[in-house]
Amino acid sequence: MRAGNKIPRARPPCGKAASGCGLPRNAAAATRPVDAPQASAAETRATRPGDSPAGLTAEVLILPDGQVLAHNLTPAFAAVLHELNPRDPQMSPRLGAATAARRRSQPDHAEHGLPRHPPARNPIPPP
Amino acid sequence: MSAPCAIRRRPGLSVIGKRSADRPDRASLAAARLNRARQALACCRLCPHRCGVNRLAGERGFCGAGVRPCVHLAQVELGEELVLIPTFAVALSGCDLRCAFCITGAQSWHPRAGDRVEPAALAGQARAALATGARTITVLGGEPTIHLPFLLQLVAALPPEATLVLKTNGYGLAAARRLLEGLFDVWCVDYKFGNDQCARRLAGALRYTATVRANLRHAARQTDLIVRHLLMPGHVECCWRPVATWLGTHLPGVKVSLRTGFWPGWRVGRCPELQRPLTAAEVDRARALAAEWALNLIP
Repeated sequence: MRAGNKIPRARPPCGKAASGCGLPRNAAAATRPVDAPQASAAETRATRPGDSPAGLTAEVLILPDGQVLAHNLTPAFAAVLHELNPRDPQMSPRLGAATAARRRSQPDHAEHGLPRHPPARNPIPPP
Repeated sequence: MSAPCAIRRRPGLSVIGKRSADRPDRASLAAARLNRARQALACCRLCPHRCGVNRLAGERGFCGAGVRPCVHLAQVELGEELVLIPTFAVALSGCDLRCAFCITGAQSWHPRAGDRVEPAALAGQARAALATGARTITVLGGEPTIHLPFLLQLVAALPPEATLVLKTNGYGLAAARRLLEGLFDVWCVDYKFGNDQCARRLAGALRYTATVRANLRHAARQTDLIVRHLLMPGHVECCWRPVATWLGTHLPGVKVSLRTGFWPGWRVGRCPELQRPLTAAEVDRARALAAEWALNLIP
């Protein structure tokens, strides 16, 4: 019952259109028949106690024109998609909301004399 | 999706949901209604299918749901409307619709997909999510309103200060919505089809239009309402236009989430027009209709 979020054409860091160049071959989701059930979900195992009973789940569908649809968008997966296209108008505000919310829930380490640990800017190693 | 639109704030209310001072003691409300919710399963008529089966005795109706649901997903997500995220999403298995385009059909339709999780355990996960930045807790499906007793137990167990969101297909009858009144801060209701014919053909839904409109009017009166519409290829004029027209006429200013990321999957093979993504022209046409009716589109 949930719609996917539409993300404009994914672009690798080189800036070229993502028509098969610049990304490892295993980065794209496999094409599936349109009447197949959603069985080939990209899945990451929960690493924290109290996570989803079946582990964290996120799904992505890459259309032939390069559009990427994402469903069950976890923060970690949003970060991955943001790396693909940092200027994407759908993903940036969502990641921003997640970052802002996380900061509100955490104390300011600088105020307590602890070093800041900024998020990794390149969580995905280059091919 | 349209450009971000300023969310219109009603005087005295927070951006989303009600002020905590206005929230009733929902744990007490939920607990007080639990017996009635259980009795409703003895002759289930919670949705227009009106199966009349005794779910307490193991009989199964259209949705196949029993007494206790399974949970097929419980995690923090960012894919919902911006005013709701990050949200801790809890998805209950089982649904009273059979949408050909459902993107969670494998879990949503099967009432036993996932795990049995106690409300207290889910509440613990929700607390942990809220402590690490989640803004809301969203209960969805499948269709959560077919699991009324569990839903009430879950609401009673959740933190009283949390903003609760109910994501529903809007296909429940009065018996269901009366038992849910005052428990959720936000109702996120799907208005999927603009006519009964498309609803019957694409989702097996009976008396769809009257049912969902009654739920929308009810939700608009007593909670913060977001109306969702999944734009479908080939259904801009027959579905989105009547939806936009009705919303613009009867619920002006209501928050509308126009979902333009149609995902051709699951059983769209039964519906030829759904076997493709949306075209840019269809999205543009949909936005033009929204502008024509001055809809309050939210990102």
